[in-house]
Amino acid sequence: MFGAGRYSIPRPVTRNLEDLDSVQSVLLHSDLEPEWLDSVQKNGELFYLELSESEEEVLLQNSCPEMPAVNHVRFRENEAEIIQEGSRKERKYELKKWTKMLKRKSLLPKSSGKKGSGSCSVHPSGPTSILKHRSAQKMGVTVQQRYKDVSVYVNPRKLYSAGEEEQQRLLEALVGIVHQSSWSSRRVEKQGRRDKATGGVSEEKLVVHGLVPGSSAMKTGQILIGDVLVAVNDVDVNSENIERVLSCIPGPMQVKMTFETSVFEPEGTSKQRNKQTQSSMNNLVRLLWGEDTLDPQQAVQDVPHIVMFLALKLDSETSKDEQEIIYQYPISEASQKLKSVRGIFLTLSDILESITGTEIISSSLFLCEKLVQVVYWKESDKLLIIGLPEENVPLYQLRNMIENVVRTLTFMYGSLDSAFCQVENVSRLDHFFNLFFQRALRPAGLQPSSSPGAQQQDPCSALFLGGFPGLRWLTLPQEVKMEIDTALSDLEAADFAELSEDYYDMRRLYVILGSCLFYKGYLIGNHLPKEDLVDVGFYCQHYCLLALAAEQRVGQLVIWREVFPQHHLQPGEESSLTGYREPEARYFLLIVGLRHFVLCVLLEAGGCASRAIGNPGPDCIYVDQVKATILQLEGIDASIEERLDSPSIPPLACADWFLPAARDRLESLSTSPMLSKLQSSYKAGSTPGSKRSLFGDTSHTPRKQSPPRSSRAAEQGSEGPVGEESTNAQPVLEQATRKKHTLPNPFHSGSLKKNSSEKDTEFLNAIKLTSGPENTLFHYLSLETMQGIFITPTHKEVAQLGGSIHPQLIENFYQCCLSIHSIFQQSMRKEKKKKAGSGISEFSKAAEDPDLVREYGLLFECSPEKWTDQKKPPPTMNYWVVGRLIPHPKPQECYVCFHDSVTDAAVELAFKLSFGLAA
Amino acid sequence: MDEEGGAFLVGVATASGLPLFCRPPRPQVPFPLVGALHGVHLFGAAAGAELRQAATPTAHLGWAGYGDSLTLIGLSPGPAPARILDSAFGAMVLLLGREQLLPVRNEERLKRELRGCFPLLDSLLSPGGGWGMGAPCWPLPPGPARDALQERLRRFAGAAGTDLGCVVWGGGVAWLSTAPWGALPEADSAPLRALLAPPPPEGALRGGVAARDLPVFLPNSSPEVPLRLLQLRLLPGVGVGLLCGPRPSLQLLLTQLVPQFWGPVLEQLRARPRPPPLPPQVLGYLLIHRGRRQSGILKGAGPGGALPPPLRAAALRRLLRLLEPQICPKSGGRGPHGRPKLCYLALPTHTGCCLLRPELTLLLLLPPGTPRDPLSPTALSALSALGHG
Repeated sequence: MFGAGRYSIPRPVTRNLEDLDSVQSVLLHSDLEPEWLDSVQKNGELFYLELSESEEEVLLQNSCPEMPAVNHVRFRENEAEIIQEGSRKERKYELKKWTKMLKRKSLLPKSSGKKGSGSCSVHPSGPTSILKHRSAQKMGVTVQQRYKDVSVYVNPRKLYSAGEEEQQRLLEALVGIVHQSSWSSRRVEKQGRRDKATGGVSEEKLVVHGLVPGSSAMKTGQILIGDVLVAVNDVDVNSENIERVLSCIPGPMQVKMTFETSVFEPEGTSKQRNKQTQSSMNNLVRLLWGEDTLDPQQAVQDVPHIVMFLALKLDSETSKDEQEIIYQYPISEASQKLKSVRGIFLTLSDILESITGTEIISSSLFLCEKLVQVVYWKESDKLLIIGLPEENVPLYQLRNMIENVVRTLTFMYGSLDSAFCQVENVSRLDHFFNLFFQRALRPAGLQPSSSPGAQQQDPCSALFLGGFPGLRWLTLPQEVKMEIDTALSDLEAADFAELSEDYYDMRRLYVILGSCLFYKGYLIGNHLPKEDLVDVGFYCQHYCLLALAAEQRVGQLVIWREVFPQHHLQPGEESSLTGYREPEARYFLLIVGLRHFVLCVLLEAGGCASRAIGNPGPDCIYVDQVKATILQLEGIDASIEERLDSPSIPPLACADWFLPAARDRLESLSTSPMLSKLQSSYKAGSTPGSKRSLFGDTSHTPRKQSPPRSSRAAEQGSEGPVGEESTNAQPVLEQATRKKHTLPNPFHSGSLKKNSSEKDTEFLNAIKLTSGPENTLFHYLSLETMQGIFITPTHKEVAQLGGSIHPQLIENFYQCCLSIHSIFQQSMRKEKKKKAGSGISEFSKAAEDPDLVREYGLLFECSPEKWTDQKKPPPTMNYWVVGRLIPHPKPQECYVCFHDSVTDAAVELAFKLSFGLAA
Repeated sequence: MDEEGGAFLVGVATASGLPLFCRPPRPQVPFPLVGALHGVHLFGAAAGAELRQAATPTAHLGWAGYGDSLTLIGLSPGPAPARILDSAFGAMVLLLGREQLLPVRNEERLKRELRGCFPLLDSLLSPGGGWGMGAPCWPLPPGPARDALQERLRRFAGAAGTDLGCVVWGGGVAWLSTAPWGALPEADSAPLRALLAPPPPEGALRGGVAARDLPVFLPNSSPEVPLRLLQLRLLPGVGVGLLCGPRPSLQLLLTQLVPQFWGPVLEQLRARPRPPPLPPQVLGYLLIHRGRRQSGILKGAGPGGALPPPLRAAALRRLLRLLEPQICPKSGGRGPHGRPKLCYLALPTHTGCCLLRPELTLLLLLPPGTPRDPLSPTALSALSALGHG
C-alpha cells in the first residue's frame, strides 16, 4: 500500500481507544490540521510563533495594518488547493480540512471552507478544472486577488462627458470609469477571468474597461484597466445599483472606491510566504524589545556597528566595486564608516599573519568619537568581522560573542561559506544579525512585558549570564527529575504504537538522538551530549526563545530546520580510538514550545532511519508527539514552582544585612525575613528524604567528593589520598555541617523556639557558610563546562532577598565572574595547546602548566548609595568574589561571593563540598 | 616562540612613509612590511578611522601618531603597546626636543640624530623593559640616615642652582631624590631614570660614565626648552644627577661642589643600602606609585615550595599582565562598586596579591598555597616597609 518514498503517516480511521493514551487518542481523532502547516517554507524550514492570548491582542493593535484577506490559489503537483487566509486568531479556531501536502492519495475529505464575506463562493470541482487546465500552460503561477481603496474626487455638478441623454452613465460622467455592459460580460468570460456571475445580465461586476482622459479616475493613477469595482464607500455595488449609489452623492467630496485587482505572480519567489515569515520575524524582534519602536534598527542607528563577510581572494578580472563584500549588515548609516575602511581589516589579517605567525583576533579603531573593537574570524579564504563599540561590549565579551555566532551559524547552515554565500539566506541572516545587535546594543531593552504575572528578571544579570557558556540549570527533587527523564526517554524511544512507521512496515523517518527540556528558561532535563546541548542552547539563546518562554508569552511555538551539528558531522579524535563512525546522515532540530515549556529534539535521518530527500518539512506526527510529551508533563510545573519558591540551597544572605549601622535599625526586620525563610525551609524539610541531586543519576551517591578532593591534592602540591567516594563521605559532611553550627554563637539569634528534631532536620538539609550568627554567602555560580551548564540562584531566590546593595552586588559579581572566566579560559587554552603539543591527554594531571591560574579573588568595598547622614561616614562592607578553577578530572569553575568575615578554613571547606551544589 | 621575544619598534614619517628608525635593526622587520603597516594606518586616517591596535593570541601591534608628522608602530608581546609607544616618544623627546621631532623637516638629519636614542629604546624593548621592571630598585629605608643624606642632597643641588637632584646606587638599584624630583610626572622621570641608570652589562658595575653633561628636554614639563642633565660619579656604583640651568659648569661641580658636599660621606655612601624589611613571605614586589614603578626581587630562598630566584622576575611580570585589567581598568569596565581593594591570583607555583589604592598599586609575589586571610595584613605591612604605609 505504501511503497518506498517518504510519506507522512496517515491516521487510521478506527481504533481501539482503550489502548491509546488519552492524549494520543485526542490527537488521533482530531481532524485539526496544524496551524503552522502553511508557514512551512520552501526549503522545509518552519518558524512558527503563536502568541498567547494577551500578547496577540497587544501585537495586533500595534502592528502595521495587515493586508486584507486575500484568496489565492496554489498549484502543487497536480492538485489545486484553495487556501483562504484570515487573521491568525480566526484560523486558530476554525476547523478546516486540508489536503496533505506530500500525499498523492488523499485520505481526508477535501472540501474548502467558505469564510466570511468573501465575494466568491468556490466549489473545488468547478474552478479546479478550469485552473487545472491552466496549470498546463502557466506552471507555477499564482493568481492573487487584491483589494485596494482609491479615493476619487467626485463632483456631481461637473460632468466629464457631455450629453444629457447619457445621464444614467454616472459612472462615466462623474468618475470617469468606462464600463461596457452585456456584451462585455461575454468578453470577460472569453478571457477566462474569474467570473462571479450569479444572476442575470443586469447584475454583473463592474470591470473597468476604460478611463476617460482627464477624469478623476485617471488622475488618481491607481485604477487600472481590468480592475473590478466592488464597493463605493463600503457599499457593495454592481452594474445594477451603481447609478443609484452614485446619484446619492450630495456634493463634491472624496469617495472611497474599492477595486479588486488580479495580479499574476510566479510561485517560485513565494513572496507571500517570505513576507509572512518576515513579518513574523519582525514581530519577534518587536515583541521582545517592546512594541513602541516600530523599527528597532532606528534605535541603534547612531551606534557604529557592523558585521561583514569578506572574500580575501578576489577575482582579478572582474573588478567591481565592493566585490569583496559577500554579506553585510546593517546596510545603513551606522555601518557606513566601518564599511569604508574594510580595506584595513583585509590588510591587517594578511600582515599580522606574516608577522606573528598567528591569526589576527581583534583590532581597535577610533572613529565617530568612540573606540570600536573589531573581532575577526578567518575561515579558509574568507573573513568574518564584527565591529561594536567598546563601551557597549568589552573586548573579551565580543570575542566570545563572535565564537558563539560562528558556532551557531555553523550549526544552522553547515559552514560559514554556505551560510553567507547563498543568496536566499540573506533575509534570514539579516534577521539573525538584527537580533544579535539588538541583544548586544540594547540588552536593557529586553524587558518583560508589562503583564502582571511576569516575574521580574534583572536585565543586567540576563546580559551577563548570556556571556557564560552553557545553559542555566535548575536543581530539582529526585521524583520530579525521574518524571522528566521518563517522559523524555519515552519520547526518544519513538514508540508511537499505531502512529509509528513500524506499524506500517515502513522504515522510520527519523531517529531521535536526544532531547532537552526547558521550563521558564531553566534547563530541567537533558538527554543530549554536551556538544549538541551547547549548539541547541546557543540557538535558543540567540532567538531569545528561553526569554519568551519565561514570560509565558508563547501560546505555541514550532520550529523545524535542518541543522549541522559539528559533533556528529566532524567527529573528533576519539572516534578513531573507539572505531565508531558516525553514519552519513542529515540532522534536524525540532523545537516545540507551549506556555512555559520548551522541548528541543534532535533528529537524525539516515543511518538507521530512512534517508531524507529534498527539503523535508516537519512531520505532523512527530510534532504532535513532542507536544503530547509536553502536555504529559504539565503536571510537574506545580512542583517546579514549589522548588522555585522554596529557599535556596545553599541559603543566601542579603548584602544589606551586613551594613553595620543599618543593622541596628533593621535588626527587628532582619529576623523576620530569616524567620520566614526558616519557616518555609521547615516545609521543605518535612520531606527529609528529598535530596537535591544534580542529574538524577541514581547510581551515584548523592555526595560525590572526588573532584574537589583531587583538586585539593593538586593544590597543595602533594599527592593526597585520591580515593573513591565512600560512604564515609556522608557522615563527614553532616558532621562538618553540625560542627559549623555548634560554633560559639548559634546561627540564629535565638528568639525562635523550635524543637530539637526540627533542628536536626534543618542541619542536615542546610549548608551554610557562617562566621558567626549569620549566613554570609551572598551569591554563587557553578560552571560545569563538562556538561555545558551552570547553576546559579534562581530569580525568585534573589528577589526574595531584596535589598538595595544586593542587586548591585550581584551585577558586580557577574561582571567579575565573566572577566575571571576569560582569564581561566586563556590559561586553559595555553595549557591545552601545550598538552596537545606534547601528546598528553588534556585530562591528565601530569605536567601541569605553571601558568594555569587556579584561583582568582577580588575584595570589594561597598556602601549604600544614598547616605543622608552628614555626620557619620557611610557604613562600608567588604565582600569577596572568588573564582576557582578545578581542571581535573572534569573542568569545573566555581564562583562565590561572600562576606569578608568568614575564615579561610570555612571557605576552603565549603569549596571542597562545592557548596552543596554538585552531587 | 619565546613569549618575551619579537618586540619591535618602527618610526615612520607620516607624510612620506619614510622609515626613520627600526629597533631592533632590520632584517627582522622587512621594509615592505613597514610600508604596509604604515599604509594601513594612513588609509584609516584618511577615512576618518584611527587605527590603534591589533591583537593576535601572542602579540599586540599598536599605532600612534604624533603631531601628524610622526608615526610609531610597535609590536609587543604584552597587552598594552600604546604605553610602549608613548614611552618611546617620550624618550625621543627627551634627547632631541619636541621641535626637532615635530614636524619632521629634514628626514636624513633626523635619522642621524635618532641614533642617539637607540640605547634608551633598546632598554625599553628589552624583555625586562618598561623602565622599572628590569633591575629591581627600591628607596632607602626611612630613618635618620636617609633624612641626613636627603638634606645633604638638597643643599648640594641648591648650591648648583637647582632643586632637582638624585643619588643612584648600583646602576639603579636604589635611589634617593629631592622632593621636587620625586614630584616629577612619570612621563619625565621614567626616561630620566633610564638615562641615569642604564641596566649594567654583565659584571660591569664598575664602569659607567664618570661625568656627563647632556641637554635634555623633559617631555611633559619642558619639551621645547632644554635643561642640562649633569651626571657625576661619586664612587664606583654610586652616582649623582642634577637637572640644572646653564649656570654651573661641569668643571665647577667636579672640582668644588662634589668634594665639598659629598666628600665627608663617601664611606657612608659606599655601603650599599639594604633592601626594605618586607614580610618574610614576600618574594618580590612591584610598587606603582603615581605612575612610577619600583620593584624588588628577594634573592633568598624563601619558604619551602617557593619559586627559585631566577624565575621570580618573570613570574612577577606575568602576574602584572594577568592583573592588568584590574590595575588599569578601561573606562567602561568598572562595576558598580568600582575597583576592588585587593585581588589575588593563585597559580600552582606562586601566588600573587595586589593591593589597589587610588594613588598606588602594590603587587606582591608570594609562595604558592598562601591562604586568603593573611593576604591583606601582609600587603599592608609590606606597604609600610616600603615607606607608604
